[in-house]
Amino acid sequence: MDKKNLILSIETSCDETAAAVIADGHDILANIIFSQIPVHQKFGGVVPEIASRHHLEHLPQVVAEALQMAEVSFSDLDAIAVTYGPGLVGALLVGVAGAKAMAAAQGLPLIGVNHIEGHIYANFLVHPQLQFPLLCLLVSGGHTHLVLLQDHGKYKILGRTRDDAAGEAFDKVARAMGLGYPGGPQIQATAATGNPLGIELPRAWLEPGSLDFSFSGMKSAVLNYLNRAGQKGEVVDKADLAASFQQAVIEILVGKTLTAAKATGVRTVLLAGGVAANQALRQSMTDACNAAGYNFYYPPIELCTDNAAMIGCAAYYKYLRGEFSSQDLNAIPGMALA
Amino acid sequence: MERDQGKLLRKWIKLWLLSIDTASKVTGLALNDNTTLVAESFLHTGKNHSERLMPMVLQILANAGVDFSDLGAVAVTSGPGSFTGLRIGMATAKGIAQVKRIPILGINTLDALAQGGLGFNGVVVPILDARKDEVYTASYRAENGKVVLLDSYRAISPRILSQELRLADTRVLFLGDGVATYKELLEEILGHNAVFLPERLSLPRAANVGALAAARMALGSYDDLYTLKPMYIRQSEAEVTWAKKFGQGGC
Repeated sequence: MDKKNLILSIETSCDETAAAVIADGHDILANIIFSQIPVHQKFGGVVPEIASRHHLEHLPQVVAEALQMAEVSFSDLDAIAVTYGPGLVGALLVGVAGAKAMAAAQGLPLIGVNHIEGHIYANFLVHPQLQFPLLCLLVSGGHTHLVLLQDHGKYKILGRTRDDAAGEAFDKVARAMGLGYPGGPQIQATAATGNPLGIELPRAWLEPGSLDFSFSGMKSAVLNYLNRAGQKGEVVDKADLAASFQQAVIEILVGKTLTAAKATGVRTVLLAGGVAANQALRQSMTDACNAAGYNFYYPPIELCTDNAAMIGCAAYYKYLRGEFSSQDLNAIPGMALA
Repeated sequence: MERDQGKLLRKWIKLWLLSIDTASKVTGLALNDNTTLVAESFLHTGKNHSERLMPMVLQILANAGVDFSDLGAVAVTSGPGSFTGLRIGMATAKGIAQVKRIPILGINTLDALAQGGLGFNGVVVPILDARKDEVYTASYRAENGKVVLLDSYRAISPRILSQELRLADTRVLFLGDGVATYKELLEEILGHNAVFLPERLSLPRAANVGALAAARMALGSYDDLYTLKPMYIRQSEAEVTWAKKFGQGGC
């Protein structure tokens, strides 16, 4: 039997310090995540400087745990992969510096991975046999993209947000409603008992046929609703408001994805990114794809939010293509996918 | 046979020490064989550490004919200094230490800088530009080839620092990248008691980090890979704001 390809991957782009060991691009031998969420909660959002400090403190331990859980040592590895953008520059630099040093010291190839590409590849971790072309809706705290995947590493962005990312809108609305950080899980939990049609909110479809997104108007509508209620001294039904906002966002996301699928003739739709953990979105997209006859895949929840396993998966396909990074690799905070 | 044993013993002891300093605008590296300085890199281009540090590490090792597996320890300046610079240096040092299973040593940036005053008799005050009109500093006494810390590490306005030093009424040698910015102010307050060296003798040198690290190694004193962290001195802005608002320390 051939020796398995083993990649150690590192992810420090935001507030999760993560390391994983992936065999042959899909077998997750270890997926360690040290979440800093409790550290940032009192500030109501991620504080870049604090995130960077915590990454440096926890990276060696997280890497050691990943290797230990995978029962491998540095000398068993074929490559070391690291997220080098987009993300918080100070946070990215910790992972990039650590990964470069580890790769050089062990004499291994270094593979720099785009964080967004990693999110998309979470799908290949669980469905390595996916056939191109594919359409992926990528929704996270920083991005809302409709991406056409023509082949491994070949992306075309069909649409993107013109203002807030979907996850960002969730965070801002959650904060305004006093639900805390991170907003996505809070909105979802609060919406569980609410009526999604209880409060009328606008839907921003933009010009006909557009595959771009805009969430700032919908977010503002919620903030205005809260302000008006506050001025009148009315009690807001938070469950209804959260459910109605969630529903409005999901309608746009699902509607635009199906428009894009139709326009491109793609038969298979993927979901990716932190917001892909939202149950109502998963369900709505499943129903819509079933009704329209598209195949629909999404990663398990733990692979939707930031993790290093997805980075290792994307790195595996780069490894196969011989796409390695040199030791002058730098963090690129505003890195684009394509 | 004896020679082989010597070679084996030598390999077993593994005294090659790599020192990394990215706490200021200077990217510095030193390679020591025990206490002997064998190679040094000094880059003061104003460009970022992230792109240059590892290529420089590969180069200095190649030039000295040393492999990562020959390293017996890695040292790094542990602050104070530029937050991002400190993290790039320490993440790099930790990465090497973790892979090669060798000890790591954090060396105070100001202690290393103060070594530049070894030939001086009197008070030595390294000042590193901390922005916000402050410097990271500490005071040392240099005499008879020794430099001893007199007080604690802090971030302070150079005006207040020099007013404090004026009370001592003694000659003070200033070192570090803060000199370029604050020389006039220091001279204005301290007059002839303020002593300066040309920049080439005043900027951080990794050789000094290596010397302090080698001295600690001789005593068997090391830091822990998992707990070593930079001395930032300052909290993040968010923590300062939070503490002002809620009257408590940050996380």
